[in-house]
Amino acid sequence: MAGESRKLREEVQDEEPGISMTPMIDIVFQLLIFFMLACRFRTEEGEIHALLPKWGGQGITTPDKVPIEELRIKLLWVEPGSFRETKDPSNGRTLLKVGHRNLPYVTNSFGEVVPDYDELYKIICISRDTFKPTRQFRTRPATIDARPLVPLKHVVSSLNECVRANIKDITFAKPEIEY
Amino acid sequence: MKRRRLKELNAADQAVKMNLTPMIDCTFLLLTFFMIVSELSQLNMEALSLPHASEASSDSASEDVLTINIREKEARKGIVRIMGRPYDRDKLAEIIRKEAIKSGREHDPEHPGVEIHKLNVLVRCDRDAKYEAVQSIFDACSKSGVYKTALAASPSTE
Repeated sequence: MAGESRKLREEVQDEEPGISMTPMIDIVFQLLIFFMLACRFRTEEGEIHALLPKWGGQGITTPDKVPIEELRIKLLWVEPGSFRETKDPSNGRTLLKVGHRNLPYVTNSFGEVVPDYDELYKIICISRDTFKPTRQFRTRPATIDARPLVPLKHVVSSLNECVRANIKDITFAKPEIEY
Repeated sequence: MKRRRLKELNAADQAVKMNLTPMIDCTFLLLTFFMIVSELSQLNMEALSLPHASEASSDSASEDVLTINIREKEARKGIVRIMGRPYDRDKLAEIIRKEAIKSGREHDPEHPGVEIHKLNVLVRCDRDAKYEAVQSIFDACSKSGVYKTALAASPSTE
């Protein structure tokens, strides 16, 4: 009897207190699943800066005496197969126009028929090179005049070509036709 | 004989046990990776199909930036999103005006004597959305005296 109780006491003293790791592993897996679902891998992103026209209501303090011929890039929304403007948002295409010149169309790497932006770049470069810098403008100022129904991607592509050609003064214009 | 039998029994017992320590190590590594990579507070950066532009630069200098997100489907209804919340055009104009006043004014370096707001407005819009959605934002900016704008674009063509 005394021998058995001594054995039991020895067994109890021999057992070390242990920590159960199972709940910790459960919590760790819960956290892992949460962060895996919450994680979103973003694509590379950048910005193209442009200024809005300031001088709608304000006066220029030091105006240039010589008027400057600005480079106006127009993006019109026209009927397919013609150059007539349309108000139908679902049936139309973008026409890129610089001055009186309509730019041709090309098929891009995505298989879409888009205005020829390389041609636009060449026109911008020629216009830039023939400009004499003034007190107000270091390079020829460019204005992007897009119709409301033109997809944004074409406006951004035009803006991109201006930046590529190192045009410093780029502004967006209000449309000539009110919708 | 008895000792050999005990030894064989112990060996059989040990062969069944699995050491979980490396698995816990890997789990902690994965957890640490996803904790660092995930960005929980990026409500400004909604998942959009941005237009492509090879000249888009990733360095944005100013701290006073108001990011406006436009989804193509919501653009048709005139709804934009700021920090994940939807707003219509009237509310947007009010927000831009308030943010412009908060940002303060600075002298336009190109035109001395003229003051403009410090606020930069970054417009993130789906590439197939119509330009009128962005134009309404630009109108609201002009009316509030905000002239510094930027359009978000993806530099890669993939």
